[in-house]
Amino acid sequence: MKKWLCALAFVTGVALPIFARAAETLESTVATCWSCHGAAGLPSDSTIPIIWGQSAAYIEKQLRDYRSGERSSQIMSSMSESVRRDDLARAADMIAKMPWPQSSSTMREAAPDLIASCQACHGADLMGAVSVEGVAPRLAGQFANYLSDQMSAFARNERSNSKAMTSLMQSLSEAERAEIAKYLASL
Amino acid sequence: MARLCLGASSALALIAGMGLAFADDVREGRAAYGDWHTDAPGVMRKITGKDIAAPLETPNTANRSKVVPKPADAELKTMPGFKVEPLATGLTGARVLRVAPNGDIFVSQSRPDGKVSVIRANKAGDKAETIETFASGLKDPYGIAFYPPGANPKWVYIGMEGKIVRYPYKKGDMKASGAAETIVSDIIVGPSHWTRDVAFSPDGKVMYVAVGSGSNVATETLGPKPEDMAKFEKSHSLGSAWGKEEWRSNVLTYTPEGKDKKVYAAGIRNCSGLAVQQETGTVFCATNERDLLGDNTPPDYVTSVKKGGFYGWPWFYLGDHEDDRPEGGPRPDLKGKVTMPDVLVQPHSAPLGIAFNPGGMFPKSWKGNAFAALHGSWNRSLHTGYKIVRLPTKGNKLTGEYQDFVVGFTAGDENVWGRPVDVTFARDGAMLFSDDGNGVVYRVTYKAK
Repeated sequence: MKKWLCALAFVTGVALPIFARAAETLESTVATCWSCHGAAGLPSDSTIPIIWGQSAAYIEKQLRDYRSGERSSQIMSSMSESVRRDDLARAADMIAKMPWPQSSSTMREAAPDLIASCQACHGADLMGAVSVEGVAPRLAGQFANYLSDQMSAFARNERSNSKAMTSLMQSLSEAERAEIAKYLASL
Repeated sequence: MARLCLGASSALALIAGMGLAFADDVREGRAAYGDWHTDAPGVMRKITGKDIAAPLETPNTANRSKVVPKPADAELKTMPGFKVEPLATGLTGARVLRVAPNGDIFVSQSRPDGKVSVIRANKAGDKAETIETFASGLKDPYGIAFYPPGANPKWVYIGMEGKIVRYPYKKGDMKASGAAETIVSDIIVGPSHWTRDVAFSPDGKVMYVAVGSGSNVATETLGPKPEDMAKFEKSHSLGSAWGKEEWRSNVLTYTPEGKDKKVYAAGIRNCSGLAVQQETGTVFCATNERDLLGDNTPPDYVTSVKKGGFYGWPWFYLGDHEDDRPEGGPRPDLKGKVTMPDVLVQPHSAPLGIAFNPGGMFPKSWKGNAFAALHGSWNRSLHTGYKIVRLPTKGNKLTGEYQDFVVGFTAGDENVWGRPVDVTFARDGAMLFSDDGNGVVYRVTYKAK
């Protein structure tokens, strides 16, 4: 019967109550993030970052930057608009409270000398920290591909929502950035 | 319940599709909507302004497709008498296609390579014989145009995110013989839509440049309104946006030397593909409408573009459908002034490129018809798009209908093995289209039975 009703609605174009405006809660909106960022917190595409357990302040800043155009991505520009402005902090908090997924890496890479320049803002353990520059995200255990992409984007001015990152990344070679990314992913 | 309904409606449309395939019947109204399950070569669809679903009839969703290599049992499907085969492979990020007067095929490989390549086909025209890099080290090269129009262009113009450059060109060049000359340098870089298509009027006097919006629906990119709106609209165009959206969601015009910037039309969220109809000089756009309003809202569109026309973004869509999300609130002053596009396309299909069939190979009655590449959805529960469609014309005008022409890039509900970007025609009249998912240029040929 239900199927029949649906079919009827489709054929006649009559909007039956089943097509009623869906009730969206903040929980359901945030859950749409998982389709790219992973239903268990681990994205299937390594150019998409792990966000479960990331710093709430960092997530909130990125959402705000996507909305205002300080950070650029077609999909994220839209997705960040799906949360009401007043709910951004709460949405970020919900994501931050999810557990960071278990690392699949088995071997820790040797720490490059340059890692100290990361630790200055991201913390000695590279788990993220608040610094004078603002909120630095957790890097430990993040995907190497994502980290490399972002470091290059900062170096090429394609991502510009952190001045400190732009100048630091421009001072490193591509090989140095790749080495750092590989190490961070192994943590 | 919603899931049940989706299944029932898909099944129903599939049955209808089987009946309609290869026929001239048209699926209209709600029946014209659909996802990849209901695609079949020959299916004709017509969506009108009164068929538009209310916002969030279905929940907003994110569902990015995963591009996989071609599965062993997967084949593209097209209409009887047509054949579709790869012409060239290994063209990572293949985007815009343009054919030079001598038959060489130019293709922009926007990301990550940042280059423009030239494909020279063999005598039969069915396989790439040589592929050369025409220019490299470019930031997001996209649009390609030969200038001046005609048999002997002297330059190749390339649209990039922040600028338009041109390279010297003479017939047969497969590598740029000289350095790029910057023609336009004031195009906005970032955020959001980055493609910049370029085309010339048939008389070569006007250069059209398409610049998409800097956001989905200007929730936080407008800022304070211009103090004197009448003056602003006089210097821009009716319905032009401001702040970070100034000179965006527009088709702009310049002289071929990059001077005299003007807004040709406004409110076009993302005119990803520009085409100029050679017979009439009319400008056409393949346009991606806004996200986050549910599976079937609002349609994307392919349209002729009126000079001074306002197509709605961000305050309206497809006529007087108001959107309450843009920063600073509604614009009731624009109500009733929104130009309705010619062909409404299944929401979230992402039409990226269009071309007109110049004739020579496809059925005679299809001469002058437009074809569009639908890159495919992400903001929809079931994938849609990922196909090439035919847009019939009558007297050089689009009729409002479109027909599934090449389908089959989807492999289940999660994976796709191709994402069509642009369409063009080779000198022999065969159609070419690009796929930036697996870096292929396909050739579609026709033989009357």
